Amino acid sequence: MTANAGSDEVMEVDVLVIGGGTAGPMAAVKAKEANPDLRVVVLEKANVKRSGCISMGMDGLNNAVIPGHATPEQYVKEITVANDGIVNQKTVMAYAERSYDMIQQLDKWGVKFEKDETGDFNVKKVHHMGTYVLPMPEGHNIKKILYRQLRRKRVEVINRYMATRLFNGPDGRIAGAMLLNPRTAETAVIKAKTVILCTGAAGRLGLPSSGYLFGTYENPTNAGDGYSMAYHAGAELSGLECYQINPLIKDYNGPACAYVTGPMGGYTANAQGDRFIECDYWSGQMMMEFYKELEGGKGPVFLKLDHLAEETVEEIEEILHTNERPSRGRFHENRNTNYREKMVEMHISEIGFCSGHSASGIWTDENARTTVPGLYAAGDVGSVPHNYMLGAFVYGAIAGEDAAAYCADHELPEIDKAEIDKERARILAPLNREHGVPAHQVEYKLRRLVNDYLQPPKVTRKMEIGQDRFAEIRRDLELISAEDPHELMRANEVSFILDCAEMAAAASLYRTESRWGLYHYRVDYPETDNGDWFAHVQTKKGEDSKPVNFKRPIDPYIVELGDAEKDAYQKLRVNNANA
Amino acid sequence: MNLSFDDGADLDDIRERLSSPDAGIRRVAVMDLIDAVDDPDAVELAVKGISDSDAGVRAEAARVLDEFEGEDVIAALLSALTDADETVRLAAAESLAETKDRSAGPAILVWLETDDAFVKASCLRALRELRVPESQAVALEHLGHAEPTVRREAIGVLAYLKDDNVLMALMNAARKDPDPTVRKVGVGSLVFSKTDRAADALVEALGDENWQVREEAAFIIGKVALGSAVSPLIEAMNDEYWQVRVKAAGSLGRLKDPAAVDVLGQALSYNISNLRKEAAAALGEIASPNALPFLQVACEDVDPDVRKIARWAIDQISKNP
Amino acid sequence: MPSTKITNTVPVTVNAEACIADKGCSVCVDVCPLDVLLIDQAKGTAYMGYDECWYCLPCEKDCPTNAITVHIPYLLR
Ligand SMILES: Cc1cc2nc3c(=O)[nH]c(=O)nc-3n(C[C@H](O)[C@H](O)[C@H](O)COP(=O)(O)OP(=O)(O)OC[C@H]3O[C@@H](n4cnc5c(N)ncnc54)[C@H](O)[C@@H]3O)c2cc1C
Ligand code: SF4
Ligand code: SF4
Repeated sequence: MTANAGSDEVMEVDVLVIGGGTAGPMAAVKAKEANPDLRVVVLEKANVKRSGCISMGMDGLNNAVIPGHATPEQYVKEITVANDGIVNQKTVMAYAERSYDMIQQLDKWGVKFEKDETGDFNVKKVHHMGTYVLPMPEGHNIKKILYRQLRRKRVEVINRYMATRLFNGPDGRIAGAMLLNPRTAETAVIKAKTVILCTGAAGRLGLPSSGYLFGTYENPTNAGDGYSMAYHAGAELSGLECYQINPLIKDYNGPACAYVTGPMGGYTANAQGDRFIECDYWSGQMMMEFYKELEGGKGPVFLKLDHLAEETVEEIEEILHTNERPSRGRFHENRNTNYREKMVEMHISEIGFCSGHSASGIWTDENARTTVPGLYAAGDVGSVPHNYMLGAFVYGAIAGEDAAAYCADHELPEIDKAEIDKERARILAPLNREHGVPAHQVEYKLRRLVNDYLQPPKVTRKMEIGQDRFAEIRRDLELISAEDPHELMRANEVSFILDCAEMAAAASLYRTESRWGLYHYRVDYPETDNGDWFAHVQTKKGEDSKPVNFKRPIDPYIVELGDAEKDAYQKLRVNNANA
Repeated sequence: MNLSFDDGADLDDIRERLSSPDAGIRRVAVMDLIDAVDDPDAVELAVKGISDSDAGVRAEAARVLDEFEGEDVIAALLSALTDADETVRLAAAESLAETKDRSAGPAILVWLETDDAFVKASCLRALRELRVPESQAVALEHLGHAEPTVRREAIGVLAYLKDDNVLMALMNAARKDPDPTVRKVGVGSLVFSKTDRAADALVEALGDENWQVREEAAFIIGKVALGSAVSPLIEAMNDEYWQVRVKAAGSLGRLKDPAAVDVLGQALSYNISNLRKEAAAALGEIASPNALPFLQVACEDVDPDVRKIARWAIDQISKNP
Repeated sequence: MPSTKITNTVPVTVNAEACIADKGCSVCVDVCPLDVLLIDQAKGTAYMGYDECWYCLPCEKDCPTNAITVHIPYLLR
């Protein structure tokens, strides 16, 4: 198959939202609500009806900040501690302050949260901490509701086109994006005054231990596209050494569901059936404890439900097997695992970037603005730590509104034609190659190398070897051939993954200390060093097209931590150093 | 290539397919209406689908109708509740329950006059969200219906209205309904009784023969802060189900009565760690120095959650003047 | 480079009797986030074209005729 070499269809819009999963539809709807005259487009690699992390619903909100239960200040403190102090508190506060409004907005639209018999939200308290869980066992319809809003607000949707690169205008501000159709290999250009990146996590960075390329924790459509695109557009990224690693059901790679089974009495246990996690926060420290137990004499780790009553187990099954990751029941059936009789073996996920669960993302301020004028980021690809689903919605809204305002006083920038031609040639090249290496082989090798050399515990020399091997893969990119447009999509994703791997290695090597428990545990720098490293580590594309790193000071806290709270994370650090 | 709204619906095309003799083609056409919710002419087509000769088409119409609003939509869904095909009936009930339009109330109320239990339950479920006062009398009537599903939904309507005047009826359901799921829902509905008017029913439910009813009662008593129920809760700490004891412990914590210290302290040696954890937390809430000896032991518990909560509880006691 | 073909089992099966792709249905193809389902125009049914499945189930859930069954991919089973 040969590709179109000629001119691209060009569309001109005010707000281009890339990614129509969770944050994306919200951003588009809010931009349109802010100014209905704007031309707002959602661009989606898959189909907005079922794309992204929440395609089958979600088990619940685990970071709901609801008046009467928790205050924004409490929440900001908690996230500050969970992230070992490395936070821009203003961004966390902006989330916390809009959290409840967003829940009410979603409720009004018809998203089903758990309610008590009188119709009030059934908030579950997690003891003595400020976190509150709002389950949504019947939340399967969430995507349908977002779709309805997109239609009603007359947002334009373009499905089955992936963005491959962003363009900058002559003055550096954002100017648009290059598009590739993964079914026809057609290309197109969208010129935009503002671009909102909502492309989700970098889910295909590490290789799951099953070896199945698509058996990832994250939705594998999210290959790291947004991280790579922001990088090439000159934006600053942050915390890329603070990987995402999650506990999950071994091999199935679905979450272990602390938020469903926890409130019903289930928990994570070691082989003896005992709880072992000391850490109160969902954090790298918790993952460190998990990892140690997994590898230790009392391992591996299990999800324990076999002490629950039959009726409770039935209820858990009903939720877990119909919501969020519903194929789980089938997985257990194949292996004859019955929650009533056996504990369920758990494991840790492959590494990835994700601010939804961890803190790695494109640097944004409390208005969702990146360091490139006109470019926004929201959701897992942004940099607001531990933001989860509700954070994606809130930051989507913030980005949409701010972008709408930005459009009012900016003209559409020009895009250099040569840039477009160069990009088209780059993305289509694999189609025109014969007898090359198929994308899946390169991807397998690349991600296997990520596991071998980047996965914590991190070792300096190993990461350096990893960098050398990634450089070889970069040469291999020139050898990839694609037999059809679908394979062409995969080939382009490999280049996203490679950018992410190189950025992960660079940022991890730069921060010469250990922090965030397992996420950044450097065996040869086991101590946390607040003297030198109480700062964000930023990544940017350098002059030589390689990542450069630098420190960004932490903004003064707007919510001071009390001594006891500081102790809490002091204690975490002690544990960490003993790891 | 078409770079705008690449799956936007073409209503003329859908209309044409809807008149095809082939039921499969009509069915797909109805499904495509989901892309046309912003088109005012789409409603009519969806409504028409409900009276198609093919059950598959009718089911899709019932599903897609939850995207639309208006009298005709509600009427179509209501009529589909008596469809010959079960899938259609279920889909219609689900879509009906999604409606947020309060003006649909009267039309739905009319259908409660039928004899069919499924229709009644579905209508009550839809009325619940609408919270229209006129549904109260009808819901009260249905508390005596023969079918538990109908009674369950009737309680829902009443509880969503949160009217103190129906408290007696709800208490009755909590106590006397022959079906345990209905009793449980009845107990749960009493959560809006901020006074102790529901006390008798809640305390009685602590002795229900079904453990899930007892569990719910133990939980709700804490939520409504029923101070007069401390002794029954203490008794519930001997329930044969640890799940009931967990909820009783939690509620004793909320009620903060030092009389519960002993029974909670003893619970720190039960073999279920969930219960030990809840008991330790309750002792922290009560914050009585009498709990210290128990909590000091709990600081050495095998379960780290119990240890953590015990440390926190001791801290609470030391802060308590 | 010289190359070879290897065969993989795929996790999704389609009941050809039930599938109404020939009537214009393409729901499963539309909703799959990984774009691995295709329609065989000659047979008028859907099928899985690539072994790249997240076993997430929208295809199965949204199929109007329950024609689709998603199994757990062999490597994870
Ligand atoms: C299995 C799982 C369970 C979870 N459980 C919970 C939970 O219980 N509670 C909770 O609060 N949070 C939970 N989360 C986290 C939460 O789902 C995410 O934080 C949130 O949904 C992220 O939203 P997003 O918009 O950033 O990404 P997504 O919703 O994944 O959307 C990203 C979108 O971008 C599209 N895209 C990617 N690349 C491109 C490209 N190049 N061009 C065009 N489009 C592109 C993708 O197709 C996708 O639709 C869970 C996540 C996972 C994976
Ligand atoms: S959704 Fe079902 S009926 Fe439609 S094409 Fe797919 S398998 Fe066939
Ligand atoms: S299970 Fe998910 S990834 Fe697999 S074919 Fe179905 S929709 Fe696609």
